[in-house]
Amino acid sequence: MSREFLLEVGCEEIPARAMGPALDELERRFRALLEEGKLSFDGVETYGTARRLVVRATNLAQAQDTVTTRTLGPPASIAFTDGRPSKALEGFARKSGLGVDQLEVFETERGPYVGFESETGGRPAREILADAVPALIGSLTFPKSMYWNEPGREFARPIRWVVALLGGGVVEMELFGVPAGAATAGHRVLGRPAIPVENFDDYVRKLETNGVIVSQHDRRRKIRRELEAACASLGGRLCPDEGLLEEVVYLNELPSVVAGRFDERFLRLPREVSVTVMREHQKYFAVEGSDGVLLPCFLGVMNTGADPKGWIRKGHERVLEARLRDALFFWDADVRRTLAERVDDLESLTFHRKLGNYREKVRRMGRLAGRVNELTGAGVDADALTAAVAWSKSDLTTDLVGEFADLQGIAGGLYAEREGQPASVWKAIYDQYRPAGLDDRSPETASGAVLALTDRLDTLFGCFSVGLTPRGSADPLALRRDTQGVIKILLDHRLPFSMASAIEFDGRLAGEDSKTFLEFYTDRLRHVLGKRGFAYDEVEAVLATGADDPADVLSRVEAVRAVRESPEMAAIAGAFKRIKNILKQAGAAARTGAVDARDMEPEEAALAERVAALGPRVRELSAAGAYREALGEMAALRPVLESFFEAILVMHADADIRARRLSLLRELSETFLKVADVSEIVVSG
Amino acid sequence: MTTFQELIRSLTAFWADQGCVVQQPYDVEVGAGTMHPETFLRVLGPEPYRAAYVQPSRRPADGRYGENPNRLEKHHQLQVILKPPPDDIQMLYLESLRAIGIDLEAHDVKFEEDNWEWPMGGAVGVGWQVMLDGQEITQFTYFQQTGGLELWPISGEITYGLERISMCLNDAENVFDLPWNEVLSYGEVRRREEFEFSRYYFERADIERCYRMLADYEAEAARSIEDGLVLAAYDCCLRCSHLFNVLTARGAVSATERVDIIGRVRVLLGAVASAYVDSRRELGFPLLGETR
Repeated sequence: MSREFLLEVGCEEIPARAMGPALDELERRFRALLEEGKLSFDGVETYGTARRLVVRATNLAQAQDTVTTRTLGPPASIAFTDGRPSKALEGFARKSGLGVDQLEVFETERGPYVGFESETGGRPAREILADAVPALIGSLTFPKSMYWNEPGREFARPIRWVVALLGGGVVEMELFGVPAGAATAGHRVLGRPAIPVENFDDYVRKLETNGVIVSQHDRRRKIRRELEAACASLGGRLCPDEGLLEEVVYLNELPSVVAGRFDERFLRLPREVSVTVMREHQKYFAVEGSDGVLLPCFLGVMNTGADPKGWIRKGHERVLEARLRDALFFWDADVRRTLAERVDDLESLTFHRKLGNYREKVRRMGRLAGRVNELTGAGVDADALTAAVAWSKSDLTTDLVGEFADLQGIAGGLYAEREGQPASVWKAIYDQYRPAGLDDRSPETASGAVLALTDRLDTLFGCFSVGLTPRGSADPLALRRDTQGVIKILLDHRLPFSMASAIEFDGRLAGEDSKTFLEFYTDRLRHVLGKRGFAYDEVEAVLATGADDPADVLSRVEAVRAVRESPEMAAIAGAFKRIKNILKQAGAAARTGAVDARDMEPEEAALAERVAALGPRVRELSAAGAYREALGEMAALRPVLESFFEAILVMHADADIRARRLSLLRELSETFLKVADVSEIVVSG
Repeated sequence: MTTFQELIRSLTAFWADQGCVVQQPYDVEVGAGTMHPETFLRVLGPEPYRAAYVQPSRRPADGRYGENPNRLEKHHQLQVILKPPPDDIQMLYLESLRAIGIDLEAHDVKFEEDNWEWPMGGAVGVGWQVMLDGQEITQFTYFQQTGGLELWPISGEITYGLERISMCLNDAENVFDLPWNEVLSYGEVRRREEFEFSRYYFERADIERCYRMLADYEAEAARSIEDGLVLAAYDCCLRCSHLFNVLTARGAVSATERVDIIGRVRVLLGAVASAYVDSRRELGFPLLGETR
């Protein structure tokens, strides 16, 4: 017999942004709970709003399957002496905690043995859930948690009610002191408290009549539909914002879209500023006309079904108006001083206690930027780069950024544009914090790329040189993001680079610190390439030969991916693994001896000839970035290499011959490693 | 129309009915109702307590010479402290909004994450800003730490922004247009004060003297802690905090100085918090076990 399990953890409002990840974790871990508990089920779904975390498991087994295990003791032949239990049998009984009379004789392939059978499993689902669910809920992770009913026991926000129903009956358990029952609670204002429910369908239906749409998918659809409809009636189109959408989906139990307007005089503000004011402070969507210009309108999402008296729209309009007025005031006030005039103010702005103020940071960046420009061959005009770097942080002293921190960079770029700076300057400042993540775009211009790289490298080198390194999941300065930003920019713009040269030029990272950073950086490169869809072994094959230049690493990984499926490549991967092993075992003995080709076997001579030609060819192709062709040349070695291994014993008894053959393999290995360590490639089949 | 003083009267009456001690504003300049000893000190230790009071709150840097319709160097908070917080504290809060005439069914009410921290006070809390039609009208916080001490039991703090609520109730665009009572507007009662203090905080406060006073109050706080006079020491710390805010508005505090001052006063406030708990312990935590 199988049944449905419904769990609802009723809470005070959990931060909306934490809900999506929390529901994912809940689903994953609840499945694991059922699997570990050996309870069969059809499916596990999670739902939720800021006030409830919901799990539904369908077709859940009523109990674990039972398993009978047989434990055998001594053979029957020695278990009894004169019909009485022997010492051996008594010993076995004692060890098993059973009386002799509880033991039985079993026929086995090896003859009759004395032993016993025991049953495991069969635990009712109700019992397993009651035991395991409280611990699971209590250990869900949230960015920030609190305690309320017991010191040290934390959850995102206080839990106020719990529904736990298995096949319609309450599963007795307690979450943070709250006993599970069969009653849920409706919308704070539109619903009733204490609504008894019987099963999931009944639960969803009753909540719907009490002002709550339980499914986040349904709420997302409703919001999208209403946003589209509102845009259509305003004669515009939505400025999409998936992050914001995700937040309002969880923030509201009964989301409806409310459309409002603001005074046209605020359209004088740059679009970025208006959109930030709407999004960051008010969680509103912006609307643009068919010409792409912002309309003096906004779309908010309210937590109720309708706005019959128009008070809600009016309230939202009043608040936005005040926010925009502030922004306009700051915008006008800030431009009274140029970015250049603000540079000295950066002295009183601490970057980090251990790394000085922003004035110092800008100075350091000024020095490093030139080197980054050279290394990347970005060819940015030196004057433009100097200006962009020098003024890059000045906007941190403006009131606008003081009020809207998210506008850092963007504000500086806009002010620079207003000051009449060329695009190579203002766009660089504008884009300097991009990409904000792997899904964000990189700076648009070459100067933007160089500035953004320089800023992050300065931060990274500085932090790692004073011990501010991320530990475990703790990365308060977001150095992971910065490192991935560096990599992404280099890859997106396909800029050559040398991390080692940059570190050397900066001069602050040395010894252990440098090693720690390079490991961290390589690990991030691994992560970024993984995110781009490359297989683990493809990435490892290339990283084994170095990670100094991400764009070059990318070219190699692409080449490895392109050729890996060819039969030649699979054979070569195996052969190369063999070569590596031979060289490793030979160790220091593998010195280059005198090469005397006269007494070579034909297979050896053939390989030697190919290897001698291969080296320069691969070097040439690699220098041109033609890694795919280089790998092709290597793959073409297959027949020669196979004949070599069939006919030739490398570890020959004669030391000279042995040294000669090892030397040949070493040369081949070095040639291979110019592109990738193909022995890392996992060969299928 | 709901006048400003009527709003205060209704909210106070509501919380008096919930068993709160109705307190008066503290008579030392503070930046928020949280700094009133009825919150900062009462949340420490095991004794239950409930209090409600209005607290005029000074934020020198927010002054706009009485010219901005939304910004003030001094605004009014109605502060409620419930220790320990009852399970239905959010419901009680929504009830209080109904009590001041807000028809919740016709509005959009949300609890949006907003955690609170007062670094100088070693205070950390978790909670929300309550949004009414997009306007933040209340700060709702569960205290977790005060004066660097973990709290048990925790307290629930509800801080109403009275000007903002009043603007919602009266559909006003400008704070100075609010009716203070049937006769006088908020502006008629307070605008001159906004102007004078903005001028003082931004232009006239004597930087050197303020720094000197700050140092004096620090010294006096430290001495009072040694004398076991916790409340006097606490007052001195509040004065330090206000002087720090004045100097900040005056643009006289560099980043390094900022960190230094906060760090020094934080140590003093931590000492005050510990000494307060000790003094209550010596008294045998007299409010424990009171039935109410």
